[in-house]
Amino acid sequence: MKVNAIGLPCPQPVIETKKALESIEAGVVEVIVDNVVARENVKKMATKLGFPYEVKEEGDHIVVMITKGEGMVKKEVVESKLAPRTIAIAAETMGRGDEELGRILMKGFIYTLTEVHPYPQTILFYNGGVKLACEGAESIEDLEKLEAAGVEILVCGTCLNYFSLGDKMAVGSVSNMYSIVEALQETENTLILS
Amino acid sequence: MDIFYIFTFDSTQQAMRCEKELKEEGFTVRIIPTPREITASCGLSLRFEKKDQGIIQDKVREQGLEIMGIYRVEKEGLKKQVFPVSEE
Repeated sequence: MKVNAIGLPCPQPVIETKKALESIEAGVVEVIVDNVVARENVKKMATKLGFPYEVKEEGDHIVVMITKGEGMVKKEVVESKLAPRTIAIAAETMGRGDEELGRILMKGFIYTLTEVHPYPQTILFYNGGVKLACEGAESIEDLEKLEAAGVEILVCGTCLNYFSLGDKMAVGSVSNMYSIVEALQETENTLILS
Repeated sequence: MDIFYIFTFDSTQQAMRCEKELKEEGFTVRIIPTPREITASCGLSLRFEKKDQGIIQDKVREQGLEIMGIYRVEKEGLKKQVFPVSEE
């Protein structure tokens, strides 16, 4: 089965691939994309679903071949020490009242996350929150520590683009609204900080 | 084991001002929430590098800020031990 995702805007390639994978019991889905971000997002989704894949380049296009096997089920959370929880960080500041204080509190919050177990399964960054995952942010070292422990760090691509921080992301992976909605819905509880 | 040093302050504003001014001077410092093991009302501490202790202390005094305490924090995994340190 083939998915032609050439020219499709993010997150369409991932959505189309997911639909294709859901429509078959088993087999190979070939996804043709024309950019690296789409390739990475499709690969990431395959990994998340536990399906092996191969990548090959064909001229200007990239083909990701995902194999869905019979009886393959979505991987359970491997890191049992992670709590089924998503923390969504929607701003650079924690709470309202004073900008500078809010910034300090948010940095303190992320630092303290590294010291309290169990770690959450996913941390999402969107809107102004993405700045915390970009070069120069003090929280980077804390976020790297969390990521190394298996915490999934997702950074909103639309937001990075809006703030012209597309090439400044220093930790985590670029994500789209599709993975944001999934992360917020899949975990048992969600904490939104804004 | 992770070892670092912190100053505690008795006011949030002082901790914030201190971080800002020291950063402007190029020191590697950062504000962290004061570890629970230390009783401090403000809740913010300034984390610094041991080699800078003497000079930072002087700077802080120049700024007219008051350091409440100086501690060495030893972290092994999630276990933490805190030891008071004397001024240099």
